[in-house]
Amino acid sequence: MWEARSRWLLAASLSVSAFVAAQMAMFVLKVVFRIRLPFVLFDYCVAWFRYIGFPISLPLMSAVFVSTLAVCARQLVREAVFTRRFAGMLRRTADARLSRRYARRFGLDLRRLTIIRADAPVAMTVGFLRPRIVLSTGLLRMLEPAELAAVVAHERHHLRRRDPLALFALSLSRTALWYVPLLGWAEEKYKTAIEVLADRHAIASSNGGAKELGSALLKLLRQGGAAKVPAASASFADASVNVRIRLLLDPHYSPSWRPPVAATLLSFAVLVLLAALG
Amino acid sequence: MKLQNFKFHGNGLERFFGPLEARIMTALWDAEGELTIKEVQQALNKDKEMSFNTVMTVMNRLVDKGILSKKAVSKSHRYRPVLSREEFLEAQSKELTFELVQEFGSRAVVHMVDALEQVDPDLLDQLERQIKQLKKER
Repeated sequence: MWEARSRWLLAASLSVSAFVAAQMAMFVLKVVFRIRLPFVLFDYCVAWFRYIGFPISLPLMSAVFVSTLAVCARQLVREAVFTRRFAGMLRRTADARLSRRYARRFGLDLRRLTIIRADAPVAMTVGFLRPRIVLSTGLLRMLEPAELAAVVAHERHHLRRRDPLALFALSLSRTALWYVPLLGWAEEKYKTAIEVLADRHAIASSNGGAKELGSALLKLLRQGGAAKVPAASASFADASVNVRIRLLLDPHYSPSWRPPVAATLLSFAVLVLLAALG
Repeated sequence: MKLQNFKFHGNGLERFFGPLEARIMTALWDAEGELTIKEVQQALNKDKEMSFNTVMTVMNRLVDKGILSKKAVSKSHRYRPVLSREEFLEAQSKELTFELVQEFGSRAVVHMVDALEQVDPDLLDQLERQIKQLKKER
């Protein structure tokens, strides 16, 4: 169920982005190069939007398109800067001896696992094309061997699926196409889905079942200073981490997957509008 | 001690210090002891002439930042680094790692746990009870 949903979410979000990109390309062809494309339907749409008084104007639409390109460029630059800084950080703090030892223990390629010297407990998977698992010495100190194995199994699932790349694609779509609010919802749900899938993989591959992963998760959350007082609102009930804990407590728990109505309607309206301009 | 304006480029100390600051710190660490401003100035003059006032200003700024300590001995002040070179670099890379990992979030990172502030404490307590129970059973 989670597997199918995650694939579906990713496919839907990326098709929306591809659709908008195609519309933008057609718009550019039409406006800049004066090439008419044979989509009479879209002209009807434009006529209809004008009829209901929706302010369609060339400057407005151009502003939307320029903002999309600007956000894309900004995100890509930001990511490139981060990648560079992160690589520098890894070079300075990596412990080659520990990395080799743990890579051997978990049967990972040395390029896929780096142990960094840091007191904070760190467990993450980072990188687009050649993702790697990064763990800190603080984490190694904090967890029992079986808990560590569960965490590595969780991260290994992210690594194999190249989740960082998919997340980046979704995040780029959400920020660049800020006028399609449903993409934000899709990104959130996708994040939850990949974590749940990675947790399941970790549980399935460990002897202790959910115990080791749950215990590791508990330590990480307590150590990281998770909130001690109940949140004022229930708005985080669907937050990825809470869904994961619920699933550890009750494997049959099923969270709501209903997208918000307003965001959905607005998103479809925007897409029709973009289709009209293609 | 946390340095602002960390520079990610460059090598060694210049990542943490301005060029003159880096040379002063090197001179103090190489001397392995306390030095007066005059002695630091003489050490720097081997490469390039430096005015006493410039050296004094920069060294006092390093004192303000908590990187050097200053002690009055007879008529002059003697300066020494608070941390050894190794301790300093280690402390800095810890700060840096923590910052990069915790705050400078990338989109292309999947953390084992994030958004700690969203955790429901009741759920966390339930999880704790269940884990304790499971551990007892084995």
